[in-house]
Amino acid sequence: MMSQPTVPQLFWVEVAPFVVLCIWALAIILADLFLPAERRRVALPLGFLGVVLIAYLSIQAFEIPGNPFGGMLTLDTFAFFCIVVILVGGGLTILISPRYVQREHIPHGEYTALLLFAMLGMILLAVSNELITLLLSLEILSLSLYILTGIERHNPRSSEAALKYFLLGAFSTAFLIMGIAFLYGATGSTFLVTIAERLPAAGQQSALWVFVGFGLILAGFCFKLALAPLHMWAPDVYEGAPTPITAFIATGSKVAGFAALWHVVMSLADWQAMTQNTFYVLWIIAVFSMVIGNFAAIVQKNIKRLLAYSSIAHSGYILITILVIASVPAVRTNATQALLYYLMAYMLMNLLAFGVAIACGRKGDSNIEHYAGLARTSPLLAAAMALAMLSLTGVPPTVGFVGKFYIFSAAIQAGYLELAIIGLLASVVSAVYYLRVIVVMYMHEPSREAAETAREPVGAANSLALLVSSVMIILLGIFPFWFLGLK
Amino acid sequence: MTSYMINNLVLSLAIFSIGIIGFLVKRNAIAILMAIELMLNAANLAFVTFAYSFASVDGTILVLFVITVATAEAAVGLAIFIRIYRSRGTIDVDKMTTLHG
Repeated sequence: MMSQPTVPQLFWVEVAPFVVLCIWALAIILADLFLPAERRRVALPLGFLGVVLIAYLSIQAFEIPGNPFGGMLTLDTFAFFCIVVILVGGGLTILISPRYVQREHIPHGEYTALLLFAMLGMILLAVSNELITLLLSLEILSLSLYILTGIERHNPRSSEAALKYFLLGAFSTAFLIMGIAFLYGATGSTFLVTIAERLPAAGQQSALWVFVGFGLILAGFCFKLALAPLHMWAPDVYEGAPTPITAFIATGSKVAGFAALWHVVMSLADWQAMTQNTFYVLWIIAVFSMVIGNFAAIVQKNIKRLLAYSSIAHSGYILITILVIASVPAVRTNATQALLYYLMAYMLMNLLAFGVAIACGRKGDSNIEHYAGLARTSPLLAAAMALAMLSLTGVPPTVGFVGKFYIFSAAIQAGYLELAIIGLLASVVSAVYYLRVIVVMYMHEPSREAAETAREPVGAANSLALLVSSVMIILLGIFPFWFLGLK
Repeated sequence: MTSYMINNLVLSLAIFSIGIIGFLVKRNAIAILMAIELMLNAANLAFVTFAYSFASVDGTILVLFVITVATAEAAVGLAIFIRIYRSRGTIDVDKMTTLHG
């Protein structure tokens, strides 16, 4: 039986954020073509304006829950929070970029447009409720990020990072597509809602295909989210990519990836056969990520590599919430809240750390030794970095503490006491390397050359980004419900 | 499950495995890209097989999207390879060792 295609009704307000963002990015590329060289710097402010506009349109779109494009997208509360996090992250990334882009002679127009395309992929990934849409959004996101990673054309390290990111990213996409094929083969649909409906009736053979499909999809996501056995690309890519892009890869693509994983897991979570078997896989990945990420970070000398391993560990913490959501329906609401809050917290902490790294990194220099005596040469930057490190460790009253508290309490409520304990011990280990950065900044003497050469000014936009993220780290840490009560 | 499905799926999985092995053992970036294309086309074969068994068009349309994705990936990938070749004179992935811990 051939299903009759019907033209779905489309409400402009529901799709406006996505359509406008796409047009905005294209317009920036076009404008860049016609503007004289000295005026091209206008691209980044235009990009920021675009993010503000999209934020406004998103609030309009999410007034009423809807399912535009025939149910391929879903505008629910979860997606709303993810989009808030992504837009905050994208906006801050644009704010920390100008100095770096100027210094490394990166073309402004392409940079901004690709950043906006990556954001388009992210917000589409957060709302996609269908596997083809999910795949295409992930590709929009990934392809933009491959190019952005290699956008420093005359820096061989940037090209090498792009090569590694591209090869492993494309490899993982192949797994994802094969996984989608098997889920489709088991249920005959690519809509996650329909898949969830048809699963209980699945026979033994279909069940096997669902397992294979979910396993392959999970492998694909593990690559994209830098989760433990498949995390090897992350440190190299983070080190080689332009620093603002590293910040964006570390934060935005993880938020979007976890949002998509949440949608997939939710469609399978009510199926009894699934919950009992996925438990072990997710458990092992979470533990591996936390342990490997934290221990490998201890020996790192480069701040970007250190943050890369720390991001692997943080992915492990976040995966605990996915595990709880998949296996214990009673705690699902709490775990989802913990997931959303931690994504916001993780985004703010990392953007602050990378923002400081941009502000005080000279060309190609992100060695931790370079931060020696930063407290004396630029006390405010050192304070911001210290705040980021304390928050990443999980010290109250920062977002990092509240986020970890939510995650571990959700784990304990769900009966995963051992996971909470492993997570806490891993956090203690993480204190070793986070605090080392603070020690270097506050206790070590600045090198003579660093003390003599005047540091270049941080720049208004970057200062604003650092200020906003610092204030939010503290305020949301004290009043977590300001974020969770948004909708 | 009819015999054509078994045949197609076994073939699809075989091609997919060949792709994985190619990705792991090849050292030339172009050969690795070809291995990835093999994996994507194995998935396409699986899509068409399932679509035929359900007599629905969804799976067939998915194949068109996957082909588009593969093309876009190849375009970006080859551009990156050219960049690397210009700066180093080789695209052997074993020689990419500037970035390490």
